[in-house]
Amino acid sequence: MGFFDKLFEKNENPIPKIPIVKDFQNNLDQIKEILKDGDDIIYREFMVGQEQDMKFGLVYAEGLADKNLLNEHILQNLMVLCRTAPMEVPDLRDKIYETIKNGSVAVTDLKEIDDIQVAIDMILSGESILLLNHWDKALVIATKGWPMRGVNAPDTEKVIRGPSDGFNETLRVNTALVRRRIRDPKFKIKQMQVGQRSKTDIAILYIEDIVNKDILKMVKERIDAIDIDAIMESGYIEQLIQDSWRSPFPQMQHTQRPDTVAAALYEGRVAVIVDNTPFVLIMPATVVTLIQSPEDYYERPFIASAIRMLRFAALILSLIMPSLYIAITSYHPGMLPTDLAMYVAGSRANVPFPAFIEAFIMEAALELLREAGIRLPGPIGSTIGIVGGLVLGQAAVEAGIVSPLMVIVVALTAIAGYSSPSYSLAISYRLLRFVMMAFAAFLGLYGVIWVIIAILIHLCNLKSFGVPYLSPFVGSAATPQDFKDVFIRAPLRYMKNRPQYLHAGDSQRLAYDTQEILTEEGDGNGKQK
Amino acid sequence: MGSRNNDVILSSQFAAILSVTIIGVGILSLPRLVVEGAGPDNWILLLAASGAALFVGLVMAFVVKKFPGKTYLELTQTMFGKPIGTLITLGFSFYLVIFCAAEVRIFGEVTKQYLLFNTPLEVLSVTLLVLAVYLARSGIETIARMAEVIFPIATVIAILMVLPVLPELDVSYILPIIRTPFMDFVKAVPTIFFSYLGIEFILLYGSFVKDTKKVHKSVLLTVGLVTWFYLSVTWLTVSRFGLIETTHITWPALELFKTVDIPGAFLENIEAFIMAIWIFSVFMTLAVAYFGASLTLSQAIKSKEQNYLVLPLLPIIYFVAMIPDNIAQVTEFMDLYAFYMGTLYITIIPVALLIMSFFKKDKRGKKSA
Repeated sequence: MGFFDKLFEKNENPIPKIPIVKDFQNNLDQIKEILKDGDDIIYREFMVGQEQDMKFGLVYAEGLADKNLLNEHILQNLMVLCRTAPMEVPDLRDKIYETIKNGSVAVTDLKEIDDIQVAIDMILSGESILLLNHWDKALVIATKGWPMRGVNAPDTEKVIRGPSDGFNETLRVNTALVRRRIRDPKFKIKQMQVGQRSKTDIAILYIEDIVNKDILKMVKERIDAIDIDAIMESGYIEQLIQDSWRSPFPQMQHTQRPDTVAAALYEGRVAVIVDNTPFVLIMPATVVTLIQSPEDYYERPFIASAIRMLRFAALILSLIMPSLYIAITSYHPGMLPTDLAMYVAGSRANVPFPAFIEAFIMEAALELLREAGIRLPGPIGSTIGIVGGLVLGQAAVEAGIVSPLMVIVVALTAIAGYSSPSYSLAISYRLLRFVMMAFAAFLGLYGVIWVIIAILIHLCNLKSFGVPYLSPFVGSAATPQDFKDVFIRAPLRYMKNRPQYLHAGDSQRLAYDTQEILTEEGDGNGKQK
Repeated sequence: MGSRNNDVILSSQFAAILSVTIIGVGILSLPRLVVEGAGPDNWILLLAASGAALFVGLVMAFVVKKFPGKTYLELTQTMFGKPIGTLITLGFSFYLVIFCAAEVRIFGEVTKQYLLFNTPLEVLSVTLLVLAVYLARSGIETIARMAEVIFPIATVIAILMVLPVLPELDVSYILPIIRTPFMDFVKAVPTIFFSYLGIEFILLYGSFVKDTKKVHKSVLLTVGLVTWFYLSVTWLTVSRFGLIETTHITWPALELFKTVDIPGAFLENIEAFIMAIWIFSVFMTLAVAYFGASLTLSQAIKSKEQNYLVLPLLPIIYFVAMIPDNIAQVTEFMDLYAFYMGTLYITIIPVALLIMSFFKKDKRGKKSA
């Protein structure tokens, strides 16, 4: 693809090429000069051949290259086996490369290069370089292999039912985890490097005949435009390519679950895997995708739909509950039934603060608890939860600083906030909650509505890679079909198409006659073949 | 046209915009006006007014269909000549500014009366105007999406809120039919017709519609929905309060919900929630009119940047809104204003455009939608 050629060209251009020359020592010195004071780089010089007259040099970064592979399949072959086996070709020097490539180095991936700069890049990314005397090229041996975390269950996005393998920090492992779920030749993994210094590997994943070409092009162009020294995590990429940095809402989904990524690819989205992080970006994201959990599709539809509606309600509650409390207690107590109004007034009688301060204290305490709970190691974290939640709450009520109703409201808000499958959506709601509380204190119920309208305008403005953020509620491309996967999760047999608002290709997912076949076979006492 | 390239909406979005625009402050006093006009024949009066609204709506849809993609300025200029066209567009902008001001004032008064008794009118007005500025600056596509979101939510909630009133409905209040003297009836039609104020935006925003061929469907849908909404509110109010009492209440639609108790519910007075939905719809009316004012102004003064003109309009609208001493003055003024300016922009200009368009057949707009 011309696009990628251009990309690599751009990355290499600033650094002038240093050709590898025939003089072995010169080459080695060049590399040593560039990698000066890099004590993790190993230079191994050795002699090969029956007469010990061929000088070889092996350069690699310790820790990044697989030492076993180097010892057993390269050094042993070249140093030991080559000495015992007599050379059949009399003038070896002319064909030394072929001989080594075909006969001596027993590894899967070999490349030939003629530029020392490329050689340096390769060494630093874990490959080994084999230099030969009197030869103006070098061999790159694929020896990448470093200690890595295994494929563990992800810490976030836990499900009861569903696979529990999660991404780890190595790009290749992550692409493999997705590839295992999509054995389709149309599934593409395009790799590129971002970061002038970090040269971080990035893979763009998509299914060629499903993905919306416009979205894919936008993703590629935006990643291409990044010119930064280093990429530390996929959050860097997310922030550099998102549509609006002013928005509190996440415009990309991030996940640690390969099944989520695969499902998104099948819907026609694009995924970006960044090396050194288990968090994979999925784009475009809409409000609805951030509320869907992979488990929704594994569970039976009625249960999944009910849970999803619960999640919608929780999201709204977590946003407006404290503000409603403030608005109703300070401005509109008449809205409550008389008994309840009396009770609320009674419980607040000894509280010396206005409702806003009361709510603010409790919400701020809750945020503190949350933050402390994340930082502390597991067992202590839960202790903090108990100390904070139970002891502090109880003590605050008994001391008369807050009313018991307020504690209930805050606790419910917190629980509702935790039920969101997307952490980044939940934290943006936490921020907006405080804004809304301030406006509720200022303008009562009208303030709450004011903030809701402002958020709605913002959401209507927002697009993620050209797709309206509120799809499929708005927008020209959405059809009633799309609502099968919004508030409810329709039975799979009725979800026959991919989301229409993404303009995905090959839009049919399920054969149209599947339903009839299933029904017919279902009649025979559930015995299906 | 708009300043950015987000200026294409669909006919379905067009219908949503029109619906949320038409249903605004008018809904609150509508039952009183209808009953004052025709007593038990209120629903016939409403249907007659909706017929008139449908007629002008279709006239405007016809013009839009005939000249797809033409802005208001281009339309009036091709039909009436350049100076008159500019004048009409400028006048439209002026008309919309006054319209916004009245909307803001009534919103402030009602909110103060029902929701926030001690908050100054000025704060209420300015905060709503700031929101409207935000939306008006965001462009027509965002407005369209906003309408798409708000319209179904408001409709569903409104229907849910009506349910508790249903058991107390009394059909006898809308009987007997056809007892109003014919001339009284005819005289009452224009007043109710102006509850469809906002329908003039068909001409203004028609240029944004992508599938222009379906514009008449949007108009039909809009008028149908709005009429259904007006009818149900009037019916509920009348059967709840009776004919005489309805005419004595300033905002009968709000009082209606003040009397509602949801059995077993935890909230007693749902009128605050009705207010909340009403704020949504007032806000949309305001924002759409505000956007229209800035759009026509930018067209008339040949400015490409509609969104730069939004903020300077805020103080003007605000001060105009603060001129009347009380709500009675506002409604009195609005009745006259709607009668003259409304008639001009809703009836006379569209019909004139229609007539002129028959003569201008050869010079049809070449610009594609």
